[in-house]
Amino acid sequence: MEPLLTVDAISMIFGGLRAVDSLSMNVMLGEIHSLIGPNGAGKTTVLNVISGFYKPTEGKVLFDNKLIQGSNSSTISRAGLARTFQNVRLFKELTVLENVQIGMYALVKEGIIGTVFHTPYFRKVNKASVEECMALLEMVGLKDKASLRARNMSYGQQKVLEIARALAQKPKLLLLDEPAAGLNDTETFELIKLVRQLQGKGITVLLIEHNMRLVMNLSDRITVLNFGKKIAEGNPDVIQNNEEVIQAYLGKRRAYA
Amino acid sequence: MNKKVLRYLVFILLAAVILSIPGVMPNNYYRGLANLSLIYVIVALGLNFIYGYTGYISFAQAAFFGIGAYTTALLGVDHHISFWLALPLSGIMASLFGVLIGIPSLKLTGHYLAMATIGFGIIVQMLMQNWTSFTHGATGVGNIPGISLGGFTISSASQYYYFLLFFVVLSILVTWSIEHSNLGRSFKAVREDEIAAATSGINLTFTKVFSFALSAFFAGIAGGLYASMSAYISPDTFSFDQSIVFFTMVLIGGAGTMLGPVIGAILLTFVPELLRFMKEYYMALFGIGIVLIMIFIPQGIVNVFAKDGQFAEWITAKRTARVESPQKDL
Repeated sequence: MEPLLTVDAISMIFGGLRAVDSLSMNVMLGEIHSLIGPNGAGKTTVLNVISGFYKPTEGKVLFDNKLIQGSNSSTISRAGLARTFQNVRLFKELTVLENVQIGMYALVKEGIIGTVFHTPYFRKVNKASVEECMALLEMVGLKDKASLRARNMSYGQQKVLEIARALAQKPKLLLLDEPAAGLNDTETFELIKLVRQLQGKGITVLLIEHNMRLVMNLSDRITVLNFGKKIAEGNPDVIQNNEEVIQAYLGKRRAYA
Repeated sequence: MNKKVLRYLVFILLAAVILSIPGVMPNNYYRGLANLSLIYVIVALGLNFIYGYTGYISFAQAAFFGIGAYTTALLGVDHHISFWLALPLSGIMASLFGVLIGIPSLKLTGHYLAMATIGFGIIVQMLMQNWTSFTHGATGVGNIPGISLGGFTISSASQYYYFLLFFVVLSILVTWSIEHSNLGRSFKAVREDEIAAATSGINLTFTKVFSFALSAFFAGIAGGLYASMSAYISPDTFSFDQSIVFFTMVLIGGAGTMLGPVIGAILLTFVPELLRFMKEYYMALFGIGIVLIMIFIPQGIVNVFAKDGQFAEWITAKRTARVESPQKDL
């Protein structure tokens, strides 16, 4: 297997804080890779570096064998890297369908003439993209909500809508930032099924999550961060039995006197 | 009576009313006012792109309107260039300035950008007033050639009305087309959440600058029409105050809706005139009216007609538009 995403010794320094400290990791093509760690470990910062919100202080990020650090998020997105947000960021006043259509923005070439005159070519392209978006909505179970506004969706529906919008970009790599936060058990179960389905379609997933059941259930490999440093990496079994990981989450085992 | 028939009836009634306006108006003063309102509709539709759809406050619209007007006027008077060539050039000239003001929008947001657009507007007006050798200065430009269409010269106010109506309908159709396209959605995405828009692959630079340019293009075309219709223009028409009026038109009518700016522009042109019987109090009354509208229908007047500003959708709804056009909300 070859890596789709390579994070090579990146550091992110905010003032005096080393939020990420020379982190290196590979996300292999086709795998579900989780990034976990206690609160404040720097997980979201890593995601923000990868998706182009931050330029890392040091280090390189390679996606699909191309350097992407320092590119803006629009360019990175067009290269095939889609993401969702910890606090859902939808286009709230727009409809569910429009949200997904915007995800497809860079792939749909309507042309300026087509846009102004709604030429037959425009109609064809537009119809095809609407159909694709509807298929995505069907997959996440929001097809019958297509014409409603995003702000009227429940929190769980908003979370999967965000995933649908990310999928509309036809990404090679999907970054999910705490997709299960705030979901109930049924919704979490549906989410697990959905992520597996995506893997089946050949999408590589990098997941940040606090729900350990979901992480252990889904992940092929896990990277554990603490205070911006990688403390462990491996499959779920290895991670669950790693002394340092247990310490990071639960604290140091006391010596019994 | 089913909905479809009702829809056609409303449409026909609306068309009849619009077409009969010049005949109904009591005198040429009111016909002139009707023509002016049509020009303002185009300006307001333009402003709606940047403010209503893209979510950036711009007080430069009167400046773009002025740049369009001066382009047509100066080309016609000083260079004897035909209206039909000058008009598109007016739109292009204004949109070039739109690009210029769009560039700071990449760094500035909210109030700061609003301040920058005010500054731009004032500079433009200053240039019109003081660059006498080029703009004819504070006395303005007179004797602007009128419009002739293959031998037929548009002369009466009524003829101008139908001529301008053509441009208004065209502007509305273009607005509708853009609203229901990838480009229109990208504007709205930037308005709703820039970060999410960027991660969805939308090029923020292009989108913002293009929206400003499009706004300015509409204003420039309207300016060209205005110059040719009134035959005389002067710098004081294109003031900051006028930008505020354009902004209010969009706001009162309903920003981010297709028909909101149309309704706003017509109302704000006519209502002050209809209130003139109040003598010196008329502007105060007008101001109170605007405040009341902002308090009770902050989304704009268009939302009185249909929920969520979907009046236009209702009128134009057609076979395939079902999925595309959100019809109702929860």
